[in-house]
Amino acid sequence: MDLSIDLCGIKLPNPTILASGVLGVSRCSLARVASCGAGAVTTKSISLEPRSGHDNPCVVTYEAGMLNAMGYPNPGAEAAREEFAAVDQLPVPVIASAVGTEPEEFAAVAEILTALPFAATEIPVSCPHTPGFGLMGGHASTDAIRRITSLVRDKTKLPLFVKLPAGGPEVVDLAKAARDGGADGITAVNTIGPGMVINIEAARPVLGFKKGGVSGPALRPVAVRCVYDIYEAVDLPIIGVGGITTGRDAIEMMMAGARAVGIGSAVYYRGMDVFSEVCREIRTWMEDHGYESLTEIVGAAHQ
Amino acid sequence: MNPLEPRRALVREKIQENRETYSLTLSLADHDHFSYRPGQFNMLGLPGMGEAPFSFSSLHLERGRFTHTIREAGSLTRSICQLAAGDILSIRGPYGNEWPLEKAKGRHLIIVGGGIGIAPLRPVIRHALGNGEEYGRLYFLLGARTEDDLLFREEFEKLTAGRDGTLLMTVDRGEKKELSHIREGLVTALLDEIDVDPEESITFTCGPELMMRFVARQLIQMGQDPYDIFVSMERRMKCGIAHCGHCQIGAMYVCKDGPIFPYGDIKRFADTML
Repeated sequence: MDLSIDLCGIKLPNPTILASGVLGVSRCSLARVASCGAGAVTTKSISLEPRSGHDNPCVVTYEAGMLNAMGYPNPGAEAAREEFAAVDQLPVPVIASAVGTEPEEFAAVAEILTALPFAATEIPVSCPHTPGFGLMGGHASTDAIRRITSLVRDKTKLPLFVKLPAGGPEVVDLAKAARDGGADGITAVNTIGPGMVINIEAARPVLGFKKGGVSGPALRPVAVRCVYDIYEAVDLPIIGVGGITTGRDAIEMMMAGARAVGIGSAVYYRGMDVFSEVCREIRTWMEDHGYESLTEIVGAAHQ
Repeated sequence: MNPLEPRRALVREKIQENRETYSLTLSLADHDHFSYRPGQFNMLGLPGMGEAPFSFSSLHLERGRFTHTIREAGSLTRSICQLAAGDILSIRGPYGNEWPLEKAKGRHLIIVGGGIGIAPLRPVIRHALGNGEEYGRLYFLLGARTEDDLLFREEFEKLTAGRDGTLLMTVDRGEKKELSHIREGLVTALLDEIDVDPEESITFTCGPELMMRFVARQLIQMGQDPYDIFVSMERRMKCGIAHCGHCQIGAMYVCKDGPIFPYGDIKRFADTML
């Protein structure tokens, strides 16, 4: 069964996308994930200057999900220019994640990355655990999102996705602000929180940054609802991200309105082959339930 | 058990190996299950100071205890080296793969270590000397800046005395040049002493990447297969379980695909000095 999709003119062999932040530091690493069946891959977020990120531990799991506080470690936009120069040699489209503290930094990074053979740009305005960025940088208001998106829009010719935070009803307004700023699509959602896990024997928070964004199964129903609300409010393609671990999860997210699904934490739960596994499960489910095309599934829950 | 959740380790014993290197013998503080294989590593950390990977320098658990040998190189390692018996640190692991001791059986074993890189080879040296009948000739070629930096020198001298293993050492700056088995110069010069067929040998090496590069290149020139040379790599690590991708070399992750790689798999990547 054909699972290929069109995302703002980008052809994906299937709707599974490696979410930003996981295994996305280098071209070779992205190629390995592509070989495991991902329909597209997203780089680790790239900032203008190199960043070392937060102290370890940066990741911990608990019974319902995962927390991470990486703090955007990355070698910076100049190093990215070299690392990703031949990124179009990968068998699947590569999405560049560009991040900044000031709106102008987002735009400067996006301008550098747009000269590289990426398929699209994604700008996260929603990280919950890095000072100066996302929720800790005041990026997640309608005004900030509109301004950041429009500045980036001026600097990139690539399809532009804005990665939103999970939120209450206001997530709809954030999506509209991204659209008004010139976004071509919405990525929803980032990790939620931040949350905290305490090692009670040591009587200290486990993570080096103490707090971290919550992902994995605990996030999924929140992400599905955000995608559902955004789908009704904004006529842009949506990449649904948040706790997708199985083919059933992916179908649920697409029925909420996502055209493609981001997978991150599930690489921990199921290994790198999670992409081909999820695709196999999607196909089997569609065959068992009489669906012939993903277009019948996207938004199907809105009746 | 959650492989990402740090546990508490208790410092049982600390031995100063030289002016900047300490061996810390640890056990889990909370009676958790623990086992490991030589070549693997733990992430050791202190609250607010982060974590770093450290290979085991002990061969196997003894009464639940294991040892890491740590050189003071930065603020975290300095603080860990200042701990005393009874102190607590955080531990995640063990992570990574092991030295391929099975593959080495029935062959000559060449071990080449440099500086602090001698520490992860110590369990292999101890294992090989304790199971000499399983291997052909044993060569232990160790190099360091000074005699003081030759980790476990007395231990290895005692262990090899009267045995088949050949222990040869070099230092960059010699103090007692008359000592026949400690020479001035590079560890690669010791490879000339090997009088077994490299094609029937297997090599384990750990040390500065530049050293491992010259060791591997010379062994290949001598006829050894690049896939019979195993190097132990080190990178800054975040997660330790091949989730974040920060310790990648090419498409491989040092934390999970390594830290031990066949030289043949790793030599072509620009992000190493190999």
